Amino acid sequence: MAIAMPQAERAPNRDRLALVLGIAAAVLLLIALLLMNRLESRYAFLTLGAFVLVSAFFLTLTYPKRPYIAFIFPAVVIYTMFVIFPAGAAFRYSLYNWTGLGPATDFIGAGNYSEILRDPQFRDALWNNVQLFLAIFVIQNAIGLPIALALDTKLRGHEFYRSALFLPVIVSLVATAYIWQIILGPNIGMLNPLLVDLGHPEWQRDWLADTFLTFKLIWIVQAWQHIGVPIVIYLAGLQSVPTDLKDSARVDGGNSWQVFRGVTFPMLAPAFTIITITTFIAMFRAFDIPYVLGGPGGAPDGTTDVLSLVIYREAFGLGGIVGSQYRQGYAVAAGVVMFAFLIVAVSIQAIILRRREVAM
Amino acid sequence: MEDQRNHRISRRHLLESAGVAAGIGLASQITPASAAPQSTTPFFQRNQESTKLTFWGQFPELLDPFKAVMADFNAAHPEIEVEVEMTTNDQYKTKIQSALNVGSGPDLYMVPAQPEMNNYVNAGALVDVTDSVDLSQVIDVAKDAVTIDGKVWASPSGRYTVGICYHRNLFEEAGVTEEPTTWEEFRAVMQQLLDAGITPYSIAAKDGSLTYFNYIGLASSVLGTEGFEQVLSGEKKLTDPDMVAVVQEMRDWVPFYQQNFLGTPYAEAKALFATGKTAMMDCGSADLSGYYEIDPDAQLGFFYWPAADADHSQVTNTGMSVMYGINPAIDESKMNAAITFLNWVATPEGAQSMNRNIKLLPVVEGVEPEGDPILTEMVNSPLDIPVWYERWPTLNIGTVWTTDGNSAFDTDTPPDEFAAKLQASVDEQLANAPVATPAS
Repeated sequence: MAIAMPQAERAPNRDRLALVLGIAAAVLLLIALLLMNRLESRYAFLTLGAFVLVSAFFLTLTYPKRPYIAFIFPAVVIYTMFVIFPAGAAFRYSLYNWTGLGPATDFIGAGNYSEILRDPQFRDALWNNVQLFLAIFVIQNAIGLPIALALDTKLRGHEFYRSALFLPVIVSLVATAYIWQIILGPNIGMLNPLLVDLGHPEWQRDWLADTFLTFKLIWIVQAWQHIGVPIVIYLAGLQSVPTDLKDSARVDGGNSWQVFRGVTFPMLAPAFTIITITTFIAMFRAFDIPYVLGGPGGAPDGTTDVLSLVIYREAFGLGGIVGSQYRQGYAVAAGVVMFAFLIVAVSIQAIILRRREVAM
Repeated sequence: MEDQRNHRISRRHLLESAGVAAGIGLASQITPASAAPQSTTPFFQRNQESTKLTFWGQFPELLDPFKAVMADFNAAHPEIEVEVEMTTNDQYKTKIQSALNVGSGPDLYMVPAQPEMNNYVNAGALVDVTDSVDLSQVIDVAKDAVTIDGKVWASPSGRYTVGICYHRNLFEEAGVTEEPTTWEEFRAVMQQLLDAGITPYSIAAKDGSLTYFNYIGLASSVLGTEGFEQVLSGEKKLTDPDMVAVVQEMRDWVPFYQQNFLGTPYAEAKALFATGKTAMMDCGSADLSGYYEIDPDAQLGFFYWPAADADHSQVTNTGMSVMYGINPAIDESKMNAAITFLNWVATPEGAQSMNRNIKLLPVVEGVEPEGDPILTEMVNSPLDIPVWYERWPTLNIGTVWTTDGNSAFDTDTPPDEFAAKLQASVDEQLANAPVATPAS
């Protein structure tokens, strides 16, 4: 005679089984990905098949009590397959002396990392990225914010100015860089002949080969290309400042500067946070403009070198003209270091800026 | 009750769908390898069928010329067809490596020159053809280029040679009647051109490409074959006084380069020469067709890198541009056809076809290049030394020129400081020599 198990006892058993199946599914997915990584495609697909079956039982058991799991499950699997696992695999490759061809077999542990820490080109490039960020940060706040304030006053033709200022943002970065190369180029450039026509031939320069000037010009080009973003974000922030707050400040006798300082600016704190963090990430990922204007070697004499260029050079060489060594293991390690640096730096920024938002 | 029914239906659906998906996945993989579709044609008939090989290369601009080469091969071997697929130079490496890494890709592919070829050999991405390909008619420099540790890994079929090209009409305009043979004569010619209002020399320092070729050309003329071997073995240093003199010589040429040469990239320097705005430029055999395309009436001349003095020899630098290798993942039934192709390109007939269609310098003994007499002049160089990036110890010299090249021309820095950077690059390479060392 079958003894019917009470409903209350069956539920914990089902939860336990679901938990076991969930863990099994995760393990199977991991094994399948590892097999794929080792090019064992037949076994990888077999394991994936098993993963699908186990996942189906897992979702069937969890669906009645926790239906949301079935909805997030596909996204988690896809994210694991295409982001988390490749990131992990990249970390693994960073521990090898690997050219990018064939299996990575020459395990060197933290060798690439210790070399990166001692590598002057990496250090110099990192410092250049810091300078680039600081320059753009200053430019976008010193120029972008006043422009946003001006546009917010709905001056005549403000929609045209807004579009015109945002236009460089939607132009491809490579195209932007080539436009500026045509302006600054030593033989085909327009700037030097213009200076001659303006009566200042003594101002002519080899703009793209000056160890002091070239990187500063890259700041300007990068700022020109990027400034539309902070303008639009600040403008959106300004438009969300309640007019009654500003009006009451004015009624209390505040002048324009006092209203801006005491009401508008604090209300822009969230916009400031977003702009600062996105600019930081963008400037540490800068590649196209330094590549075109400074070349793959960060000319002149490495003064325009940035982290992305170092990673590119190590992974793919110098573009095949003069030959060079390919070290994808080292390049991946540099990418991991850059990623870790960005995570830490952005987290610190986010914490500080959020506190500032609350304080304001 | 309604809720429960809905749950039951959903769970069943979920389970059914997943079961079907998993079942299909499993079924498709459980099929044994032996059950893979196979030709039902009897073996004796299959041998007479045409074999189709696939070939990947990195010159999309040369797709039609390569197809013409394959057509010539097909005329000689009607039972074999070779299908050509080209990918742009910057994407080729990623594409071929990804394919080779997963055991797929073409039957034949364009192999990079040494020392990068070492990576392909070490990764097992090339078939050893030592016993199956006959390179007896191939010139030594090309044989060396495909030989690693005594084994042959590819079939060479084209090379390029670098020296100096010039516009004959501009030389005539300046009253220059003789091609210079020594550095001193060369400086005199450049002065003569400058006096006539002609910019003597086009160079690209921004990406280090042409300054680098200039350096290896002049340095090769000082070193000769023996000296170059000594640099490769570490016996001779690039900081020796005669090698520092090469950097100094390039500095002495600065008044003759185009204005703002430090900021000039490769393409711009080429454009200046191609349009006749400068009289001379570093020039390889592969560049000629481009110059004639820009100006079909161009009156180009060519001379070897001038020697340091009358005691040294003039020189050219040669590199390998097309080498055919076999992918180890090739279907076994196609292996004979692939070997036949590799043998054909190493014959006078194959070399002639490569030269005629792709304008590369032939690598087979006795085969004279067709067309431009400059090509004949190039193959008759009195002394030919490999381009330095095809040798492991000197691989990264170009990187120094690219990342630090301005300091070579900085008059505040002594030339031996720059020479020390070049030597440091050689020392580092020698300290990190790969397991398989290229033949030199």
